Amino acid sequence: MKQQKEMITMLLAGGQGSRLYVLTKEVAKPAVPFGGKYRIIDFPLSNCANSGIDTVGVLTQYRPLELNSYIGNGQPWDLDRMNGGVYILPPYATDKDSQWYKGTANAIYQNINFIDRYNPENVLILSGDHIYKMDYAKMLAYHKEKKADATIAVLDVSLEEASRFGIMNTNDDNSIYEFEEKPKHPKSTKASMGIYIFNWQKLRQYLIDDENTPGSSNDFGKNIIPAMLANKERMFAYQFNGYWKDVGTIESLWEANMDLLNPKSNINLDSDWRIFARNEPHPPHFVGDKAQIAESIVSEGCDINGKLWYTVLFSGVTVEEGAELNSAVVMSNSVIQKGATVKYAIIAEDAIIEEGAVVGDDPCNCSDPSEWGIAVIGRGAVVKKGQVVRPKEMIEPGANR
Amino acid sequence: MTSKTICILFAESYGVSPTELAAERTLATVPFAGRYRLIDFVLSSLVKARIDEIGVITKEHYGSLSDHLGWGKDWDLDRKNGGLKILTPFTKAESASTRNRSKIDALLSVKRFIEKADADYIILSDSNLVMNIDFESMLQYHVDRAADITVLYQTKVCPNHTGCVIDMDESGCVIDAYYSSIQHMEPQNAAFGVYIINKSLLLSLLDRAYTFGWVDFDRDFITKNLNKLKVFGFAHEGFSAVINTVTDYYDASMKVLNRETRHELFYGDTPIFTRVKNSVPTIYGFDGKVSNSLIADGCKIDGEINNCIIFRDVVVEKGAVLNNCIIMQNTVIQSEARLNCVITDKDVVIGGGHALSGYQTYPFVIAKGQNV
Repeated sequence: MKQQKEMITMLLAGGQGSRLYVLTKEVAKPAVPFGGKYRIIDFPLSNCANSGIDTVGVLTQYRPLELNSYIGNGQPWDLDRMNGGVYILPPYATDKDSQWYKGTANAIYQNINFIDRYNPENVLILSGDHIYKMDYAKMLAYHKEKKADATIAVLDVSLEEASRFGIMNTNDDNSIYEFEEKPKHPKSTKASMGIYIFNWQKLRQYLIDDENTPGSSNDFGKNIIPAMLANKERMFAYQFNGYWKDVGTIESLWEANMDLLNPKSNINLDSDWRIFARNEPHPPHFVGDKAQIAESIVSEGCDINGKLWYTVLFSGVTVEEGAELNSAVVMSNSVIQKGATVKYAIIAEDAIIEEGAVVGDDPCNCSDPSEWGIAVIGRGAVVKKGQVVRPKEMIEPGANR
Repeated sequence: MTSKTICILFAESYGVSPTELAAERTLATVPFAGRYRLIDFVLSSLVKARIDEIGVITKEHYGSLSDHLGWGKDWDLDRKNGGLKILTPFTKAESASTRNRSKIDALLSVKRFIEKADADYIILSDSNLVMNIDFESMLQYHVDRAADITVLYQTKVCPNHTGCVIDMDESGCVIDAYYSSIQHMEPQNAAFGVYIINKSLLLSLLDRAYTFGWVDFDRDFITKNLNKLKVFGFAHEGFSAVINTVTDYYDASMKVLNRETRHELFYGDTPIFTRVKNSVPTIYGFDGKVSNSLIADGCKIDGEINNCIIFRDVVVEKGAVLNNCIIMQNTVIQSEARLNCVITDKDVVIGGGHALSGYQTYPFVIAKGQNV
């Protein structure tokens, strides 16, 4: 018999993240690197560690190998526990059938046994594709104070943006009376952040009912939340004020990296609320005598002799003499050779930009704004000497250009 | 490897007056090269040779050592069998005054650990060595020669060498071992404090040490027994630095700024492992200007830095100028301060506008936590 837990976390990390294109060809979205030494999943996992949650089930499905080996025994997030800890939960076969996770709700449904082992009062449902720092313990306190069956974290967005989100329409006491997915004419600006606390016994029943409903998409937003609202369950919106960003697209991933360089963005990684990550042992970074670095982030193991301007370098990146980077994100162990130029681009791990090659460009140099976008180089790709990769272009992982 | 080998590390150097940097910590945990402690180098070499039972002998103020090593997790040494163990001073009250005066005293105090170890060979090593030691080859050499003791040495010009010097015949057998107080300007076979010794021999030598009141490892164990024992020298190849004084420390640190040295030390076939801290990456401001420097994570750089080593979480404000400095963890250099050949220990604050300078051969050390 396991000791009863007040709350455990189920982290939905099965998404492909197809709008990240070449960056998620080989890895699941939560394993995509971010901010110099992190991966997206470090944010929810570190938030759990800092909020005192010691049991996390990570639901994986798409390309799980790298994510699994990254999470490992959970030690970087203090999740190597005797009773609890981190568990990777892939879909599995039973004596009757075997099926993939059909939707977010179905993924939890298939793991009812796992949750029951801990017999928690509440379950926190998270997704692995957002960059934010949040104290889930405060949200739980709010959930208990309101005696809620479900609490949904919401963020104030502008009225224009509201039609891109799931919007919670609330009464004065923050209780939710209506949920609208991407409304054309939003009535409120409270956007769901995809962070839910449910009373487990309630949720358990809804998951079973939903599974038995033919034609359901087995999705929290589309099915579970509307069903609970229809039954007049106690549902509350929990207001979050702070940095939050969905990094589901190339542009938003690039912007979130650039936000780290903007003191006004409020993301502030360097605070008491630490984000933990699994680190490889690298020596400190070295700055040569030809280097010029301004407004940039540089991680361990880099060797820099070129020019950096508004750039985020992950660990082990080499920037040779005369190379110029502007508003670029360069992931681990890539090499930017002599005289190469990288502007407004994301370069994935282990890529090589050879001498004099040009990747991406400044939007100012682009007469037609629809032609412009962030250039992306896939993992391990090589851009040959003197080649040009235009803005918005994407190079497949391992490709030779 | 069929024979089992364990290692005993000395967290202090005995007989050498300690550097100012080791005033409040063990010599083993003097911070080095931006994110490491001295002991990380020998530990990483041991991990590479798959020596996974290691005892670290401590003397005093070993708080920093137990903080740093913990259960050995960051070196993959948190093992069920063996692993990393900190051997704290253990003496009877009546003999407290003699505790760990010398390496031999220290070994006597951990005799039980040695007796209990299921091993044929024991590596004894100092932990103030900045180098990658090939323990696997050294051990093979020891076994192949059926040696009683194997001593690690390097032939080099080393005027400040404080250890033993060895002479060998053509077969590598040590025929003389002595201390040399003259500053030698020609190459000599300088021994490091690194030995492989058979366990049974070590125990019998320790008994004799107790009987005769021996205190000095090199003089009493090796020189006195050269006619009875087969002692061999094993040559170290590549970069090496032994850190005893502030000058040693400063010189070795500045050598790490050299590309070849850095690559040899850090990019060999195994990395140098150290305790993992979750510092954020370093952020450069608009006015940062850095050249030929090693910079760790978690810094905020807005000043000018030339030929420096900057540890974690250091803040260099706008207008500050640092030349040839070593700035340790959590130091704040306020705006317009000018530093040359200065070593600041952890948690130092240098006030705005101050100018401080040492000299290349005599760097100016600012102790831990000082506010200048």
